[in-house]
Amino acid sequence: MLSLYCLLFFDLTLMFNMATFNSFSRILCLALASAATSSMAAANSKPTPCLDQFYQETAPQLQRESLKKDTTALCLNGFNAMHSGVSKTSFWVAEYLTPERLSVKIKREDRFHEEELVKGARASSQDYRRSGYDRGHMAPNGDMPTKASQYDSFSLANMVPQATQNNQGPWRDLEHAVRMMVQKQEQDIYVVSGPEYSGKNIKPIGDGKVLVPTATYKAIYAPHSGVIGAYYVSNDINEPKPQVELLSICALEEKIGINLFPTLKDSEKRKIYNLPLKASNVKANQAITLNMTDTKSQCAASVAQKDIRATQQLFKPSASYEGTMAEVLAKIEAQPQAQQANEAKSVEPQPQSTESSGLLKIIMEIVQFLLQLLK
Amino acid sequence: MFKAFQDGTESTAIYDLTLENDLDQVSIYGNLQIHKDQQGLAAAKKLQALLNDIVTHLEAEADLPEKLEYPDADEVENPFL
Repeated sequence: MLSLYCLLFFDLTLMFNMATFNSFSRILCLALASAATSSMAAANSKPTPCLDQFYQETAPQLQRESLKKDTTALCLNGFNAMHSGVSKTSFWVAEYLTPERLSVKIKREDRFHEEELVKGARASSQDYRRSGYDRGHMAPNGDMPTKASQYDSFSLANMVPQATQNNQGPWRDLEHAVRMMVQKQEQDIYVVSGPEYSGKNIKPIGDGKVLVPTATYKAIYAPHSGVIGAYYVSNDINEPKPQVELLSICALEEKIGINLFPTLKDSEKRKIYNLPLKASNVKANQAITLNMTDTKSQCAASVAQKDIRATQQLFKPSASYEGTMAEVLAKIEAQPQAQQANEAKSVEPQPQSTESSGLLKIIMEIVQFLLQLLK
Repeated sequence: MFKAFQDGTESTAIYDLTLENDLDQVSIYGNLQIHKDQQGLAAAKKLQALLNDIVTHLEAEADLPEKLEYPDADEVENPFL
């Protein structure tokens, strides 16, 4: 409707050869368009349970046929995952990190446990015992602001058999680096982490045959700054010093057969930013810069709207779900004796809906007034 | 602090030092600064308690092998190609 007003106005100004009105109308249309998008975004700003962990509420989509067997969509506290009964690990684990979420400090104490929500084949603690591999977190427990989410982060559905030198080395460092990008640079980041299974043969561990990944990845997207890219670390147990590679989202998608961010344009997914490998590399006033654009990789095929919706439906809160991250953080904020550190930030108010719809009203009135003038 | 090698599922931390328990091993990784103050003393005591527990348990173990062997499982075909 707004774009019709815009077009009409533009045409009228052209028709009547009103040069000044023409440029004015262009500015007006841009203002209208941005107000419209922000008001739409504001209208949708109440997060949906589970889907709030996904960028634009859109889950990663498994695209390679061989991945689709025996999968369970998991909506846990603090993250979502797509578990595979074949690998007995999750293919991807998605989190939405905000400065507020990460400012909550809790005691880092919990237990590794089997995931009760997976009814079929799943990993057990026994499988990891004496395997030579760590129980490697995909969504870090350091990202979790509540006991419930920390507990869920210790679910074996959030673990992969991870080489010690990877898990306790560069992987740990880049978990910290991602948190630092959020906190120090005060921006929200969507993170999708998981295993890569490449090569002809795969090593299993335990009687349950939990499959050992050949590499682990952590893809990030920061909507505000546009910072995007993926960390990729070899999971070779014989490698004493695993290197971290930085890939484009497209390159990673090509490797793993998953569309990680179905609503992002290919042009975005081809960018590789200079992602920090350690927390100390992150400076508050120094934006992370673009390194290069990957023109070679094959980006994931686009996902049809109906498939996006079908996948969204798979993520439903379980009995132990405590709420969307916004709800959970609001509760923490409301507690008289919050278990927070001194630097806990206050809950951001949501004035966006009133602000932009007010702006929209004003612009609409101006347009109508000008149309009247032209009559 | 957990009992070393018992239960085997616990994970805890002393500041940035992560301590994980399993039946066959205890993992200790990250970093820890022990300052010459009360907090440093408390942290050191916690770590000491865990290490004492580990040593006690290992010394009491009959037939403690020289080095644990990790069975090399046969590889399987990658089902995700």
